[in-house]
Amino acid sequence: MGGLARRATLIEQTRDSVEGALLVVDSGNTLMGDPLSLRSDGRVIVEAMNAMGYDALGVGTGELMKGPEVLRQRVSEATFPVLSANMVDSASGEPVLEPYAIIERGGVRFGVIGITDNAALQGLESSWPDVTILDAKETLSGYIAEIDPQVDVVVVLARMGSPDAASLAYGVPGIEVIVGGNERYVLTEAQTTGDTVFVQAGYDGEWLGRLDLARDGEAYSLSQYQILYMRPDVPNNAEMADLVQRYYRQYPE
Amino acid sequence: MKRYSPILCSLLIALVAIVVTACSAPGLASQSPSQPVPEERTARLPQDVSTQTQPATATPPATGNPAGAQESADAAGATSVTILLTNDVHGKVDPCG
Repeated sequence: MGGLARRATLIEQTRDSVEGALLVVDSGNTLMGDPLSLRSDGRVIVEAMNAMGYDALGVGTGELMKGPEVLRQRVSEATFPVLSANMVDSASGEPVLEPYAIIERGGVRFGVIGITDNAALQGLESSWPDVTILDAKETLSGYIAEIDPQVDVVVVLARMGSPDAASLAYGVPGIEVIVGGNERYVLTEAQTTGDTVFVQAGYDGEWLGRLDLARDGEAYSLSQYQILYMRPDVPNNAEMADLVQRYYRQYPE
Repeated sequence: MKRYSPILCSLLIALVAIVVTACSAPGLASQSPSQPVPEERTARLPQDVSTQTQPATATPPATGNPAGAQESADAAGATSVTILLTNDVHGKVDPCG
């Protein structure tokens, strides 16, 4: 047993050791893809993320591939918000999901906004006929103007390729952190553009990114970034291992 | 113009210096970095840490402006922030098996 059970251990260890505020996020394309996740319509991942205490999830292909009704069900089961600010109803222009969440941890207020890449819907248009993906920069600018005065740290879950996601830092002021995705490589160092930090933690759940920010006056800036690998010597979390085995029994091949 | 002897002047200056030093010593000592952290600060740490393990709070409406958000943003938060992140998990439960 590896990925989820080891990740649960690392997250638990971090919770026990950090002295400041802790936020746990995933930028998306996470709920489905692997056979067990497809057989369970993403239930196994949602229940695992609930157990690990995730605070927010972005939206990519993995969240959309089974259509609106399945996603609605998973969103209702999740103890964390599933966020996309630029995925809107084509007729009304209203967001299909929650666009952002304000989450307070350790006295720090995080404004977390989800951004979905156009490519996420490719091949899935028939399942999402009434949905449009809006321009990321324009959408972000509007929401950041709304929430920036209310929060200490703005985090964008930008499930899009790193050049596009990182470029948001140039075009949209007021972002402290961009969590990217959509590429099969491991970004071992954080990239900084002005006051914005861009990070991305590999793929397939084999890595866990850890970004530390330090307060400097009223702002938070990069302190350090690490990529943690689910090494074999990371012990499995017993409860998470049991959860996965239960799903294998419940949704056999 | 009345003149004072050099010895008297020296004694007067020395006396003033002793008085100034005696008055200022407690203030400097209280700012020493070697002093222990006040009890009220250390006592708050466990409570601060425990709040990090609470599940996510309810999220606001799509265009909402949660009550009290501004007050909290103005309050002093933690001096450090840690963000744990994943992406593109592809529904995998055991990639490192």
